[in-house]
Amino acid sequence: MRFKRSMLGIPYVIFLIIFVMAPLAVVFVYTFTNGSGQFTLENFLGFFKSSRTIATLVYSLFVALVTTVFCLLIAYPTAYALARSGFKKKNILLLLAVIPMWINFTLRVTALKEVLDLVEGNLAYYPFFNTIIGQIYDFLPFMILPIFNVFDEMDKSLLEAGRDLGADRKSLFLSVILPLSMPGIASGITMVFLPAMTNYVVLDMLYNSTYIMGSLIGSYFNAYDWHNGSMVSTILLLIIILFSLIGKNKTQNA
Amino acid sequence: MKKKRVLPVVWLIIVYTFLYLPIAVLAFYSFTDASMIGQAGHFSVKNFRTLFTTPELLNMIFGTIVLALVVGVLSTVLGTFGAIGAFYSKKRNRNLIEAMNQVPVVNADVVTGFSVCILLVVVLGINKDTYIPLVAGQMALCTPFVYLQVIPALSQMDHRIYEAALDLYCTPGQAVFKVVLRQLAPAIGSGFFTAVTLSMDDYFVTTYTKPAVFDTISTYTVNATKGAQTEIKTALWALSALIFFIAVAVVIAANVRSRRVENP
Amino acid sequence: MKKVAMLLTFVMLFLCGCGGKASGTTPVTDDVVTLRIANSEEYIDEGGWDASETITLSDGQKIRGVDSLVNDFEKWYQEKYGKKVRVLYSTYGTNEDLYNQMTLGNSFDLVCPSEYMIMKLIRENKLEPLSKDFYNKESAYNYYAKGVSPYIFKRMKGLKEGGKPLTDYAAGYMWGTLGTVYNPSKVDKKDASSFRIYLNKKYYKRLTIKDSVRDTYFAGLAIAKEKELAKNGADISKILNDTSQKTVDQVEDVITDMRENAYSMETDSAKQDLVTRKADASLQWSGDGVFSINQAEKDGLRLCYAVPEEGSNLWFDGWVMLSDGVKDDKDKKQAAEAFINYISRPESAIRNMYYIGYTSAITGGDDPMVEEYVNYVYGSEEKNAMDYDLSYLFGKKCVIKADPDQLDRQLFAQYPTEDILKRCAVMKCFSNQANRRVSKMWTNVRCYRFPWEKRR
Repeated sequence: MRFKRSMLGIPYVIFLIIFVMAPLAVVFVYTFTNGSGQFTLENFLGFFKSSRTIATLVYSLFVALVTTVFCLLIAYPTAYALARSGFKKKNILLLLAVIPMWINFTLRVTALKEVLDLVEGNLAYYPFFNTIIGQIYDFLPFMILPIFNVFDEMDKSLLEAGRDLGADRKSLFLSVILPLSMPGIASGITMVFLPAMTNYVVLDMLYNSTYIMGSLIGSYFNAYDWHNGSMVSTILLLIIILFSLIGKNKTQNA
Repeated sequence: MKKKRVLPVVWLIIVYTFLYLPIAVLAFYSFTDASMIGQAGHFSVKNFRTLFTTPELLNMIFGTIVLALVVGVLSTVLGTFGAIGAFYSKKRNRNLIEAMNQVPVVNADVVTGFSVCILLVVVLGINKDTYIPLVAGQMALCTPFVYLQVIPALSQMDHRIYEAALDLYCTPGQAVFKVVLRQLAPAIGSGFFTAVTLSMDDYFVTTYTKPAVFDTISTYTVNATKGAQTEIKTALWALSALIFFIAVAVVIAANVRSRRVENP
Repeated sequence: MKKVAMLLTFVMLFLCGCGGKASGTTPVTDDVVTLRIANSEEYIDEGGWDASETITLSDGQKIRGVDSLVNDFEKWYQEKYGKKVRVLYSTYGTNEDLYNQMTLGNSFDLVCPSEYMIMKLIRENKLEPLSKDFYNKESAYNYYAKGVSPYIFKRMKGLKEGGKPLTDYAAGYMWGTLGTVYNPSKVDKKDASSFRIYLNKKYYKRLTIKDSVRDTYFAGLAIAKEKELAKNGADISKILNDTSQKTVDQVEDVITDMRENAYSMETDSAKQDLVTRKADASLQWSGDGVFSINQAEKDGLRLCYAVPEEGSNLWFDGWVMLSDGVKDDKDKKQAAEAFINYISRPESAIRNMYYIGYTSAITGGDDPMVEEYVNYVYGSEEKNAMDYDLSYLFGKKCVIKADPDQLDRQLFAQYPTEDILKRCAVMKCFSNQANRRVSKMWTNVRCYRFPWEKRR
């Protein structure tokens, strides 16, 4: 058989099927079965019948929303300023923004906890506030990077054209820069929103004992409750699917 | 002549201070003998001494690095060839691959770790001590990002070079290795970098798939912060400071190197 | 190719370097008995004591842990039984971790779980009973039978699972109580002597409770059932093992308030937080309590330990043999029981107590060594020394002349008085249904509560 370059992709396809798709399939199966292997919607219904777990979902969404919005507000001007700075400095500064990721987020949150403790006196008084700060601290580099990439590749001539056509700074931003940076924003949001809903380690370390969606998975896992753990995972997956559908819709309309 | 804008610089300083202040504080206190941040202490390198002489800590650090490198190499190889293969496939196949590729990217790593553990350990009964779940799980997390780095480089590459190489009697193997990969080298490099970074930053996939006796920096820290030993706590401060300095050194080295390339 | 080779070398080195925790120094040959032991982390003397740490008892005997107890056991077994034993010693964090490891493929011969986990393993037929000769006090090497505290033995025997007393399967290792470690300059002793402190607004956000279902459930239960416990002739054990739905619901409200009032729900960080003065009181096991008090002393902070007077928990850890491991293997069973006995020698018990700070179930029987040790640590020659009666525990006359300061500190935490233990109940293993109820309750407590939701 003649060698085709497309054959190089086969190992990866096999890998994806075994280690990405098959696990998801198993998770789906566990979601809709009970202990004796029969099909059931009980897991799902159990989740939506209890106001506790619904509240957890709402709380997680809220945490993720606030985190994502603030990350965006901080990262966007940062990425812009980085992209517009002098050529040599740009890459160094970008690397500096990414380097914190080498120091595992657990160590970074430990450091943040100490600083917050120093400032606040008693960490436990402001669990939600601390959680948001912690999540932003963890995920900010993930938001800066994609937006920077978009700005970096942005065709400067478009900006010039806009200016030549008499646009002022505000409309230049709204009608040229913002739409062009959308892919970067979308990418950043994907990298931040769902992890912010599920990273319970940040909450644990900052003494916020309220459960978020990730904590539920962790606690079901420790109790060998694969069915409920899979059910929560499925709910999270449905949320991603929902968001990507909305995202596709928006980009189609743009 | 553009006026030098102060605002962007000020903003960047604020943001970078936010990012680095906690680490800087930790680094500062790691050079003292204080057992609590904010406590007055004297200059001391005992934390670093503890860090380098405690076998538990050294094993853990060594394990993290080796794991990151192994996962990095395997993910880069798999992801690069996957990207090449997908790029030259039929549109339908490529779309399928890219859809599957997106899953770990958009998914929460808790779910990725949980699902890999369910499949490999619970359903297939693979023992965690074989390290297979751990490496596979981390690869599942990292490889898609390698793929995403290589694909754009492929679209910017000049395809005729491959054909030219074949015309010059190269075997397809040689053509791929010597020609195509060389062209993609920068993207492959940054893919490797991304994979290593993601592996080192990971906690969730590691927790759900690791063998009981193995610890990475993340799992160790999470357990240590719950614990009582002050020496371990302060040794971890030293670790943060160390990684920070190494990272800054790498950045400076890269800076110097790129300057040399520009000004020979 | 070269890169692949390098990579493989990396991986091999890495796997070799990080593979399992095997202690024991005997090489593997065919006639060597391999004994796989699993124990809690940091729960055995690992030796390496400084010369300055040598304990010199009043009769001149010196005790010093030069080598780890495991290594010492291997030498002793070779000497006394003429056979070689190789111990593979590994550790786990919690009882659930142990159960986890056992279910997901690791096998062990001898493990040391807590009382409720022992009950669960008996229920699931996973344990091998101790041999008939094990309790024979005439046998030379049956140190456990000779040295275990009669009081502890009686309480263990009174615990039954499926009609069988725990003592058929388990040999006690360490025991203790559940109580509150507190800073006396910030917290009244009276407040600290009740589980009610965890609801006390006076200490808002300055208390810690445990991030563990069973422990916090127990505390919540004691608060919810305060009135019943205070009644004359109350069956404390029955009240504090109540897991009916109605009770679970009551406790849910209590724990929700506890969580609201707490600084943190911790697994191990309270010891730090007490020393750094972030917390004024924390729910602790007596062994951890001793550790905290010792740590705090080094930092110049005086902490005390109190056991709630309305009723509290008596816990113990015990050695059990797993039938998967030792069944049909007489040599292994003999080695396993020999290990238990070796660990139960008064000298070994003292080494362990010194090293890890918990209280051993071994009081020595006729051997006065353990009593000497307690005197060594807590005895006082001063004029204001008070009599501290531990005869109930030692099964013979034993009164320590103790520093009065110790009466609510380390001595009290390690060796509580009889009246305290009378009001301590052992927390049994939950039935499957009870487990479900309590787990659900725990999730409910930890989840977010909408502000408009009325309390039950």
